[in-house]
Amino acid sequence: MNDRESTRAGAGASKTATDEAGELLFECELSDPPEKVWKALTTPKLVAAWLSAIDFRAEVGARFRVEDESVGTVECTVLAIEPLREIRYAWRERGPDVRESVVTFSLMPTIQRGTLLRIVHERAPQNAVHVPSARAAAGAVCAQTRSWRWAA
Amino acid sequence: MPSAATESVFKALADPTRRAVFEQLSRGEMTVGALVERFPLSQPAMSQHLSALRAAGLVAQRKEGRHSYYRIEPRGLKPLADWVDRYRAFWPGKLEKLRSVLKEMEP
Repeated sequence: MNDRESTRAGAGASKTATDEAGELLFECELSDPPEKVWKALTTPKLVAAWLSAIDFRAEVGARFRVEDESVGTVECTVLAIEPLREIRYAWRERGPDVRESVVTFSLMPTIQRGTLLRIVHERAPQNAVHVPSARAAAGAVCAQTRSWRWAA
Repeated sequence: MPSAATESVFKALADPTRRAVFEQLSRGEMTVGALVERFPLSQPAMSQHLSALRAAGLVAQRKEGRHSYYRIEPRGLKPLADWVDRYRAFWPGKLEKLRSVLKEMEP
C-alpha cells in the first residue's frame, strides 16, 4: 500500500500525499491571504459551515464535534493555536473503542499574496503534546527521509 | 466503522522500531533470534514488539519444532487502509467547502 499521489495544476491546486510513517498530508494553494484563511479556520460560524463542526471555539482546550456521514461523529479538542500560522486538534472518532489522531492546519503566505494551506492528519502520535509541527512533518515528507513501506 | 482492531494497528505502528520490524518481516518470515541479530534490541524487547504486532493482527506466528517463525499478516493492514481511504476522501471535500466559504466571505 505504498502510494503517493500528487496532482499539480498551478494556482488553486491541491496535492495529496500519504506518508507511510503514519500521516496524511494535504496541501492547497489558496488565493486568499493568510489573515482571511485564518479567519475561516477560527470563526465558529465559518468552521461550522465548511467542517460541519458543532460548538467550535478557537481556544486551546475547547471541545467540539464534527458530524459527517463519511466519518461519523468525531470528538475534537483544540490542542494548540499559533495565530495566523497553525491550529491543531485532537481528533477522536467515536466507536466501540477510541481512535485518536491529530489534525494540524498550517498556513504559509505565498509570493502571490495567497496562502499555502497544509493539513496533516497524524495517526496515534506517541504523545499529543509533543507532536511535531506541520511544517516539520511536511518537510520530512518532502525530504523522503523515511523509507518504510507497507507490505502489500 | 471504527473498531478495536484499528486502534491497536495505529498504536502498534506508531512505534518506529515496530515499523522497522514489520518491514523486515515483510521481506520474509523470521525467527526471533534472526530478528534480534538485525536490530539493536534484546530478545525480551523484540518479543514484546512482536507481541504488540500480533495483538494488532499485523504479524502471525507459527511453530516448527523448537522455533517460532513470525510473518506478516497482510490483512492486518486493512483497517488502516480503510482509515486512509476514508480521510483521503474526507479532507479534499472539506477543502472544497473551505474554498466556497472563503469565496462568500467579504474580501
